[in-house]
Amino acid sequence: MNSLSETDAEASAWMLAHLAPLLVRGWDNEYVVYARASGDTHLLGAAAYRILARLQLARAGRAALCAVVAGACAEDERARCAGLTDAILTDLEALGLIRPCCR
Amino acid sequence: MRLSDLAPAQLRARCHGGGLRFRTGEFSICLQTRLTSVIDAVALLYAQFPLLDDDAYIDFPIVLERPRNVRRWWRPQVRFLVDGHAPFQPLPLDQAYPMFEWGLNWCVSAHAHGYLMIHAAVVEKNGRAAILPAPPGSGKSTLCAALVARGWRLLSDELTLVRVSDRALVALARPISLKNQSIALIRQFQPGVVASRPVFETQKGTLAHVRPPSASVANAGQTCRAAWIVFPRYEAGAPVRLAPLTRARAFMRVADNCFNYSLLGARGFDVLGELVDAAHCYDFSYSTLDAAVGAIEQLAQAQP
Amino acid sequence: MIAPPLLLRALREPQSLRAYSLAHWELLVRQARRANLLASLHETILAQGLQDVVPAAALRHAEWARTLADKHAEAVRWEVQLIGQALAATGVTVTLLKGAAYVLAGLPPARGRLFADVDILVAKSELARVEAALMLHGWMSTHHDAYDQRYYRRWMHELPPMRHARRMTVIDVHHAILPETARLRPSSDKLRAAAVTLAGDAPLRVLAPVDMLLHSATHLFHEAELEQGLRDLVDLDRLLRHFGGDSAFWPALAARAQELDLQRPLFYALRYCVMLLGTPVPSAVQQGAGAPHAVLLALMDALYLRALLPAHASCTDAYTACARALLYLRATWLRMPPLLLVRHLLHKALLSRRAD
Repeated sequence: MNSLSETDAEASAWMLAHLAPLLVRGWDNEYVVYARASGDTHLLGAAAYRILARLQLARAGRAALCAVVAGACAEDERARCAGLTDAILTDLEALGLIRPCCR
Repeated sequence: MRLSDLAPAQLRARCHGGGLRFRTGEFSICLQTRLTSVIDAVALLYAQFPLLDDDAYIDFPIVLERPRNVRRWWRPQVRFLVDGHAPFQPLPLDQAYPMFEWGLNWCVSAHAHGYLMIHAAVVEKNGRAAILPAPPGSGKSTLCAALVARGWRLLSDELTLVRVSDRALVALARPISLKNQSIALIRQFQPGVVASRPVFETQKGTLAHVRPPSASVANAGQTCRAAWIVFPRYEAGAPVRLAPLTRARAFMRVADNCFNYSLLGARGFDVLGELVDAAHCYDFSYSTLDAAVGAIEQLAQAQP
Repeated sequence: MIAPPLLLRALREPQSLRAYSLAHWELLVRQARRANLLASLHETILAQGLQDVVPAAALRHAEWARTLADKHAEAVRWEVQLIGQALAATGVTVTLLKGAAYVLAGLPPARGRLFADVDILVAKSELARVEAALMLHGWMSTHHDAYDQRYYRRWMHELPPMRHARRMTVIDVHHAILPETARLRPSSDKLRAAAVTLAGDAPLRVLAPVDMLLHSATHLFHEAELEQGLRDLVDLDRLLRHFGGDSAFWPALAARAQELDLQRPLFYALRYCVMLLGTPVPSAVQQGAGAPHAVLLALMDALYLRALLPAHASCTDAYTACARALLYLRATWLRMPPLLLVRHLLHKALLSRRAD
């Protein structure tokens, strides 16, 4: 049971797409992020920013990222966290900022 | 010495010969032309600008001339050249002076990558500047002309330049361009305003240029910092409204209005980030110039 | 004959820049800008430690150009990465050419250079697969006119340039370094076989040093539009100085030129690098095979020693425009047999009249 969920966690781990550190500025829970590799600039909300900040430290699985998002959510939104996390991860991947580890 | 210190014949002789050399804030120009419309407009609108010596470094050597081919006489045209290179197609001869202004804007925006360049008007009072970024139709030049008429210093109506090395806002203080109805509006708002004769049927409609105040030209060397970033929108019949904008969103919108934000890369991000960080940002709608100027004045007084 | 322009003197003897007056600098900046070498001049200023000697008014123009060039280099790296990703699944080995190769291989011509398209070389048999993979990842063919499509695919050595729909960047996919229709037919198989793999994750390659040199020389001396001519010559000069430090390079270069039948373009490349830029080339190599007979050489000198100067009013005389026009014809003639050439020029002439 344990090893299954570990494999599961590994299989869905995420990391930053590029080695070059991201430049970030934030005001009032909104953030602008500059990706050096692509030269693109993005506007991100608090939850997305926290995911990036967490991944800057080390790669992380879906569960850990859910917890990070939960921290940014209001009480009444916490139930939707898993769905919200998945949506944000999809968006961040589409922007070329993050990628799955083991693909 | 200023352009106005030259007798008309002397000014003409310089334009016809080795060039009329003068400074517009951060940049030095040498203008060679035989076109009377250009010489007259420059003599009128750049009267207070400082002349340069013959051995001064010239950033942009500009020539306005008629083509050598049949378009010299038949449906006559004018060419704009900078250092012998023509970046645009010729325009009708009637548009020679506006072409000078557009061409000079191009020279700056195409080359001066030591500045973050925003397509925005910028005016200053008491050392603090208001930046008015401008998609077309926003009425920024009209609002800019109105503020300048009420005592704000003009840095630029078109090109806001933030020097990368020290983040200072620098001035050009060049004539303000007005389109169509704005020309009449500003004449009403500021009786006695000095302007070039209107040029009709340009790509932007009817166009005229307003002379900058002498004080703005005299102080063109003075830098300042931005205290406000205000996105203006003219809306007929609308009451004046200043709606606060979050800084992150203002950042993205200013970046969209920059000539060279992407080009500057990480440095552009840093410069814009600092600019936005130090400023209060607003969406601004208005329908009358009096109300608009009043609202900006209130803003300037309210925030220490 | 025209006196050597300031820009050439600056490139040949950078230390002479110390003595330049403000007026000299003003002219130098203008010549360099027209020649697309202003960012490169900035690199020279830094390399020679001249930042404190250059007047600030001139230095800032060079810095502005350098900012643009640095951005170009970043953009090329990113573009090459995306191209690598797009083509990874095809298994095709991609050889980078020209500017992109200089950047990814960290070669001297990359510093202060401006880039347009990314050029790659693949086997002719792989063209279809490469085109399909690129289209899958967002690139679209340009030149939709039937004549132009035929021009590129049948007669030239490349697909019509492909532009990325979102990024608007362009990739040129070549299967040879000269058109099928050209007189000289250097073997692409040999070039690709000798290509060198770059360090790093992606399986990217660049041409071997001698081949890179020969490609650059061939490209320049088959080039119709010579506005960039001096910039290309400066690339050659820098490659020669960089690789020429290895004494084994020169005999290898001569041998390879013979093997690929590229002795004539190499001859011109070495000759004009030495004459215009003072490149240190061993005299034995300079006098090697490939020289045209004396009358033709005199004509080529008269043409190239004008056409390769900066495209600035201070570097032209009464014959410069004519020289460029004649070399345009020469280049087109070299790339196509006469009948095809007549047809092509007629087509272009008709097209431009229609456009008016």
